[in-house]
Formats: sequence, C-alpha cells, structure tokens
Amino acid sequence: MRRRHFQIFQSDAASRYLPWLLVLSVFLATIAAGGLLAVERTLAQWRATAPTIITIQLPPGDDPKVDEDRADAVLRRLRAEPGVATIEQVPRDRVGQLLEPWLGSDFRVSSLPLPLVLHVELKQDSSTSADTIATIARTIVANAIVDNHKEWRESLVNYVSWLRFGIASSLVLVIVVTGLTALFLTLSRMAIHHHAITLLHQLGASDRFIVRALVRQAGISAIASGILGFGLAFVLLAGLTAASLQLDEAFLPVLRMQTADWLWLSIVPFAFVGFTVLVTARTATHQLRRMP
Amino acid sequence: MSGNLTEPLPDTVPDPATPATVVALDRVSVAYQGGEAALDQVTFALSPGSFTFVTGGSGAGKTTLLNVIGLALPISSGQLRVLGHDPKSLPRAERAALRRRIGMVFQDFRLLDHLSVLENVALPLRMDGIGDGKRRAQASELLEWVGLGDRLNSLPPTLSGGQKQRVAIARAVIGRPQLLLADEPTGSIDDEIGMRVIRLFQALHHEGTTVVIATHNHHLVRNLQYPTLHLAHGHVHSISADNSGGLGN
Repeated sequence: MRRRHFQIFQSDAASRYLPWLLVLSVFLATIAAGGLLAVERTLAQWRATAPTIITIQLPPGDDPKVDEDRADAVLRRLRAEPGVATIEQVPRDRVGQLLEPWLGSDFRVSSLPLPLVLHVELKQDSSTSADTIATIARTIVANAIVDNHKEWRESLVNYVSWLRFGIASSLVLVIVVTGLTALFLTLSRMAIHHHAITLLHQLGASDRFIVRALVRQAGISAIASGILGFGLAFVLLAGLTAASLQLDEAFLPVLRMQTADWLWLSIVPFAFVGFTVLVTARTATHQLRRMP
Repeated sequence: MSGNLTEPLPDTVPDPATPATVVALDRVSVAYQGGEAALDQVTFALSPGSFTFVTGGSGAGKTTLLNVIGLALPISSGQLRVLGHDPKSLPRAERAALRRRIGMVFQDFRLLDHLSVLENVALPLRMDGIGDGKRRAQASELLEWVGLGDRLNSLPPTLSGGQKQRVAIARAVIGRPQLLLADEPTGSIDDEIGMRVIRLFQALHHEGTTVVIATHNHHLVRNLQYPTLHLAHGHVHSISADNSGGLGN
C-alpha cells in the first residue's frame, strides 16, 4: 500500500487554489523581472554612449551632378570642423535598402528622387552642436534637412523610462497580490480548520507547532508552484531570446536573456516561496495569539 | 480507594511544588457573551490520584468546567490552579506545555478524519518532538492495549462509536498525562462498550492518573461509587465523597 503523505490539516479548496495562483505570480514576476533587466540594460547602453550622430539630407535638385558637387562641398567643410569625428556619404544603394520596407525590393534607386544622405559623428566631448552643423550645411545647401539623433533618442529614453516604471509597478503589484492572497488564504484555511486547530491547542500543541504545520503545507505547494511558474517563464523568455538574435538591442529594448540575467531570474521563485511562507507564518502566528 | 475528603480549599493558592491538589478552583466564574454565567463562583479542589464524576443536567456547566480545567476556556473571575500553575500567569508556550500534561477525551471524540488511527493517537507525541519510530511504537502499543491493534491504519470514519472513543482515550493518555478529563465518554456508545471504556479509565486511575469524568449517566455514578461533583445552572449543587475521596471544597 502506498504510504500517504502526512498532513495535519486536510487538503481544502483554499490550499488547492494557492499553488495555481503562485504559478501565475512566479510566471508574471519572472517575465516582468526579465523585462526590467532588458530595459535596464538598453537604458544603460544608451546613457553610456551619448548620442553624437547627426544625419543630413540634401534634397535632390534637377541635376544629379550638381547634387554630388554640393554634397562634396558639405563633406569638405564639415571635415574641417574640429568637433566632427567622422563624416561620410551614405551610398545610394544603402539608402535604397533602408526604403525597402516601404517600397519593396523591385525598384531602381536611380529612378527615384532620393536625397543624398550624410552620416556625421561628433567627437564625444565635442563642443560642436547640431545647430552649428545645420548652419554650416545650410550655408552650402539652403534646404538641407538636419536630423539630430539626440532629440529622438531622448524621447525614446523618456518613453523607455516610463516603460521601466510600468514594469516595476507590475512587479510590485504581483508581489502585493501574492502577499494578500497568501494572507487571505491563510485566514481562510484557519477558518476552515478552526476545529482542528482548537483540538490541537487542547491537545497541547504550541502555536509554533501549528504554524509550522500550516507553513509546511503552504511551503511544499509553493515550491512546486515556483518551479512550474519559473519553468513556464523560462520557456517563454528563452523563446524570445532566440527570436531576438536578429534584432539590434542598441536600438530597442529586447528581451534577450544573458547568463547573468538567468542567475538573477532564478532568484524569483525562491523569493516568492520565501515571501509566501513568511506571510503565512506571520498571519497564522497573529491569528493564533487571538485564541485562548 | 479509601474515602477521605481533601481539606477545604485554602485561602492561599497551593504551592506549585506541593502535590496537595491537582486542580483548585476558588470562586471561579465563566460568563459567555451576553453575560450569562456558565459557571458561577465554583470552588473545589481535586487531590492527586483521585477519580471524580462531574454530574448535572444539560446546560449545568459540565463541559464548561472541563474546558476550564483543560485550559481550553479562560475564566472570567476567580482563581484557578492546574497542576500547581496559574494558567493566566503562564506564557503561551508554557500554557501549551501544561496542556500536554492534561489528557482530554471529548464526547464527540474529535478525531482527525483524514489521519489514520495510529497517526491520531501519536499526535501528542509529535507535538513533543518524539521521533517517528518511537511514536509509532508507543501508539501501536497503546492501541493494542485498548483493543485496536488490528485497526492501526484505519481511518476514523470506518470505526464504530466505541472504537472511536477508545482511539480518543489512547490519544488522551499517550503522553502519560497527570490529569485525565473525559466529557460524557459513554454518552454516544452502548452500555457494554461504555463499561469497557470506564474500565480503561479505572486502569489509568490505578496507575496514578487523576481522572475527572463529566457524565449524566446516573446508573454509572451509582454503580462505581466515586466522589461526585454535582452542578446545576453553573453552581456546585452538591459534593458527595463516597468511598474514593479526592474531592474537597
């Protein structure tokens, strides 16, 4: 005969509910923590590399030869500027490639009135501003369009910072909901097993003995739930990591987990199990002290 | 047993080290919510090794009295000493330890239905931190003694009333309590089984355990001739010493 697992308190509806909620909590918390790590890394990269890139578009005129000459003039003038680290013209084929998502691949670049594009990179500690570059370019090509990457990157940083706040808030919310659920489930379980708890008291059980019995049952199911929740999150994050290998992480926050990230994330299920056990123990102790 | 009434309850509560009284109540009252007194100014004392019946009609306060002595119910006023201690002055952990020196048998048995007979009986040993092997050995031995050696792994719902009562008794005495309280132990079983249960209590009494049985079974009380505390409406109505002694007021 298979030996039954000893449990002082019989399994009940409340104790059957907790494990599934914990699976969900650990899953969501792991995904949120993974997202937080990815966003943090992207923000750190963006902040480490101060945006020093400027793109200049020279709208096409009637004569391509004149357009090329004007582009050469701008290149020469900007190369002489001390704050400029590099400047080069983006090949027309590359410009065509950049337009492929909108125009498709079966068009001829030469058939389109594409602007000439100059890629300028300023020195890190340069005092030359984008406005200076724009002024210089426009003295040669009056309708030159100057795009300072710093401006849109700041908007992006701002947006991603809010995204980080949102993810962190979600994580906190998951923790709070888990704590409240553990609290109310402990109260429910103690109400369901009130007669058994009263009996144990009358038989001489200390509060500690009863708390340990409740915590052991909650802890065992929490460990199983933590492993399952983390396992599901692992599968999802590993899938996203594999899918993200073609993406440029420097441009957008990408859920691409690295070895150190997995180590951090592996703390999540243990933290949730510990938190659930702690809430269960404290709630049970508090409730028992109100009994004679 | 010889029939000597103990001395009246002294004004001062006995020294805990003095085994003169196992239980001492001095003008103890218990009031439930609503203010109605379940026990009113109850005073008496029990000697070590005594066997006492507590009688009275329904609502007389028998169960309340046993719950007070078993530290399951706080008193509203008066003084209570159990096994030399004032329960109110004890920290919770020590109160729990004191409860382990008191065995309780309930009228409705109060077995945990999802645990086997063996596990139910071994529960007090588990609370004492005794290891699995020793727990099983002691519980098995005791269940043999109460005639349930063949039902160790049975679940309580599969047992008859008499068998459940014997399991409850085994659970109550496995920790070798100094005081054994039983609330209507024969109330829900037939007379023959009831007498077997009473003989178990007598056997424990002969080994030195102080036994208190609440019952409304007058036939049982008359036949056994032990001291009787009769309650009515929460008051001590009368105390009869009969031939075994151990009861005083």
